[in-house]
Amino acid sequence: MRCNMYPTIFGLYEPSSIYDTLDFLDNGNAKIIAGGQSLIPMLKLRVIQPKFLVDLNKLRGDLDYIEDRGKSIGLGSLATHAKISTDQIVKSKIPLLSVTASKVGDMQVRNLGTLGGSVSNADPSADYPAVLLAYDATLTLISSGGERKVKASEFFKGPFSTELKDNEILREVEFPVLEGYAYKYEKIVRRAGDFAMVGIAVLAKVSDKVEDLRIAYTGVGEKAYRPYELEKELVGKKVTRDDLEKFAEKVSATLTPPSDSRGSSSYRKKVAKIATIKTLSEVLGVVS
Amino acid sequence: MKYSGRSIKRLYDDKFVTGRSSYVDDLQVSAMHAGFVRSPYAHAKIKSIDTSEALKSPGIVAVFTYKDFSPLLKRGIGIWETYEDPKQWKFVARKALADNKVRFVGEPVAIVIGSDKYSVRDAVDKVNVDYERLPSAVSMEDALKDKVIIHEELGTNVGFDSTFSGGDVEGSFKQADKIISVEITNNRLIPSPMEPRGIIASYESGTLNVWYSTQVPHAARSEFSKVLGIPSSKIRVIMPDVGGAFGSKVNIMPEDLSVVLSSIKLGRPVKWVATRSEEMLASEARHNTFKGEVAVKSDGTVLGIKGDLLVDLGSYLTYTAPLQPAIIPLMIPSAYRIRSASIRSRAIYTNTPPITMYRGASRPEATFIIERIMSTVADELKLDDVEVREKNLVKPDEVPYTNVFGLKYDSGDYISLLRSGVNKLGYYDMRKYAEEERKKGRKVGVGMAFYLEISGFGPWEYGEVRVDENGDVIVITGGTPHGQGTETAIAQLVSDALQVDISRIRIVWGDTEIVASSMGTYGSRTISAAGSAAQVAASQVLEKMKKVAARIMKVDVEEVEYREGEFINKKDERVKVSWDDVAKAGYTGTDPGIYAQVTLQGDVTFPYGVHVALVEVDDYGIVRVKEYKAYDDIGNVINPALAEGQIMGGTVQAVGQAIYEEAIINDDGGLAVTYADYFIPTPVEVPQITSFFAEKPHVSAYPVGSKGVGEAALIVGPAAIVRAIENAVNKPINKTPVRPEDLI
Repeated sequence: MRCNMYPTIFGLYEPSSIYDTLDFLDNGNAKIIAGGQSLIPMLKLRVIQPKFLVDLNKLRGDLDYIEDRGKSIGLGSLATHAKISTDQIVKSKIPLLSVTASKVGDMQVRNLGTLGGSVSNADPSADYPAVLLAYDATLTLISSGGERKVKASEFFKGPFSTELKDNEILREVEFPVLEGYAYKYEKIVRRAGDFAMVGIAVLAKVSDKVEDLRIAYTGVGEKAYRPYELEKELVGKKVTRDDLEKFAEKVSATLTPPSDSRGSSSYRKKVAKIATIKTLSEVLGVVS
Repeated sequence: MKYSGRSIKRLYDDKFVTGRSSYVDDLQVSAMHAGFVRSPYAHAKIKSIDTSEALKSPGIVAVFTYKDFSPLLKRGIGIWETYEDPKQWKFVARKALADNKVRFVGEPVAIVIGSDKYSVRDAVDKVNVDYERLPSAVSMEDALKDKVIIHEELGTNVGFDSTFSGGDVEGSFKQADKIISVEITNNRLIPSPMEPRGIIASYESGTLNVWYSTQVPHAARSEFSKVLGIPSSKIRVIMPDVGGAFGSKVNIMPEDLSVVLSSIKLGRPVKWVATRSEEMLASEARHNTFKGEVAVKSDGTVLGIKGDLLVDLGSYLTYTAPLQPAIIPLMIPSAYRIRSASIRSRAIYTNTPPITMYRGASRPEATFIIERIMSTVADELKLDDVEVREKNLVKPDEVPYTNVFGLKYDSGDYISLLRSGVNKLGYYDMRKYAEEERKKGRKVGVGMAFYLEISGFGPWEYGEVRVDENGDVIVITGGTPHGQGTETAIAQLVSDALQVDISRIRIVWGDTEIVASSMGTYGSRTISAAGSAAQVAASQVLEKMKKVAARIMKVDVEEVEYREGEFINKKDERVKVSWDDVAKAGYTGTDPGIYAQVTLQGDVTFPYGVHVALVEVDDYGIVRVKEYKAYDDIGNVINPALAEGQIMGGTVQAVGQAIYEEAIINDDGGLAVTYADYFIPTPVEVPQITSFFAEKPHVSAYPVGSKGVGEAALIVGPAAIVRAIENAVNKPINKTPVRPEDLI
């Protein structure tokens, strides 16, 4: 039993450019801090004991951009949840991200926490990973060796584990602009501000039938999950309530959510099923 | 202008709302910092402790273990003998640190002292304790088997075993039309004050000074004295601003004692402020189960109750834990005319963090048990909730009423309050609304619950009033307000008694060298007990002032009347002398000085009321308490805004207890939650709260006539909320908290 509150000793480096940052990271044993909303508790709990923290806050001006590129929107990794949730470009072009950002944590968390911080931390119950999967977003990772681009489906590896190497930082997340898509982020929490017990991100293009469907889950396993194969079963169809129930049942059966104080595994599966039916009914316009 | 009965703005809040208050951690004392090495096991033998590496750590001055402290101890930490009888208990007084065994995960084994808390924290990891794990008894069921004995000296894990009986129980069960079985549980909670506990101790030339986040400075002084063998006269306990306590800071912790002992051994000040995770271990609460049977007539009359109450103690008997198993049974009959009952109450040691008292201590449990019984009776007999209660409530002409266990209720008209409360709160309209909404497919429910609680708790409280030569007033109270705002209500009472402006009154408390004696603030007692003592002291001071005025006016004291700042010659009203002049004269001539000290005796008193909750359960089984309404007879209400504040605070914690908060203990005996998932309600979870107080209250025997309101909503709230959930989902529930997965 450890009664924690006080981190181990660490050095603090405040780089003046991203290149400084990358050079410093090459030395190893450093952790990036931006909003610190997950990192500070982990330091206090001594879950992580880095030798150095690299504070990116001075780079905020360069890295919190939201850029309209026509067919896509690029978001710098230091954009805060608050900024994302109130930005007009995000609201009109990638609205699923906008509503999701408004549901991250509580107001204090949203004011400090960043897109890049949350995505890099890869908490299995975090909100963004499901949205990134639904959009099939592209992540730009940068190191002193150069840049590489990774798809969201390849980026998230497991609980708190991603494609990022120790000397890399997440520079940007790029979201395709999907015209004419209905969307919803359903987040089920026991108490305001908590992590999702189950979160469902849906993007769908619907005419008289479902033309495209992207549904991704968080909180239901080791990482965000998108049932690509099952999605196809609903595409090209005029979906009925019965189809949804079967779909939800099948999805729920593939999930292996954890049991914890928020809810047991079997309860979470039930919730995922109910939430799937509810969310898809709404987004696909299925009358029950 | 009379202050009592009005919502006077709280007097000393500026510092709190501007962040300038001084809690223990804010005090600038040049102290060493303490940290604790804690047990990772629920039950283990300590084979050896190696402190050598820790002592080499930078900034560390000492590491102490049980062996270092035991020569300084006259005995361990006892129990609260004002209210608790040690003869009824099997217990081993807890020492400052674990002796040869650890008995719960988190038990302090060694104290590390150093120059700053970071060095101390690093050194804590360097103390090597060699443990030999023992089988543990984490649940009450396991502990009851006595296969694993937690305190060998006791030979059993049962610390308390007493059967409370009255009336002809067997007879009443024979007469019954129906016998209904019940099982009712309140799971473990954590009080969670915003300020964690903290202490600074300084020992110099035989005198011990302690700055302590406590609600009972005098009780703490007395206990430190008994444990250390230092006379009380040489111990000073100062209570700085305290950021919440909820009863948990009556408890005296082994950590506190270890800090005091370290300061004695080192001859220098030592400080410890608990981290959040330490605070979660420091005081846990509730955790009990009642299994029983209820004998009823088919018209809903409850003839008798019998059953077994099991109360978890955790691994040690704390200063305040004995209250619960002793008071829960006594209060189970509540305001109902139940003439036979037999309840066996047992308190069990388990290898879990020790239990302390928490807001309501015993009355929330008793109320939840009896209100679940009443609601279950209503369901079983297809009767209305209000009807069943009305049928069983003690009639007004039977009050004062002695319950089946001999407890005497002082005053009240329970039936009238129930009727007017149900009307005023719109209970039946709410029920109808809920029913209509359910027809539309929403899971909306409304529930009510009634309570009678015991508060005040005697045996006495201290009040002192001083009028200085400028006519300004200092009130020294034995009450120890720590957020409630009772100091404002006391100022109102004294203002009225002395008919001086409230701005001339200063209320002082919480220092054993300023306050001659005190019980403190707990048990909803402060206005009744401390307010009355201050009021009586004020009236004595006024008598002294009249004597001085008589001397100035050269008349007999009987001829002096005091009205709004002026002492008047009754025979010739043109002759008068002002308050300020009398105050000045009070420090000249013969018999100088204007003060009065009062130690006012008091007794228990019994507030009561009816509360109603409206909830909605969503598709995922997640409950939202949307409305909460209270109608209470708390005797005279001195400051309605303060009283309403107590109802609001109690309601928020009731919402927590009913649906969110659960101190889950894992199979290994460890606390499985942190504040990330021990869900204290946020403002989003707080319902719309409406509070009414009875227009014609039934007063207590205390001079101010109030009864107490500090715990009411947490006492009855869980029962009302759980009943509302049952109404919403049409499914029986008999525990707190109700988890979403219980409902779908």
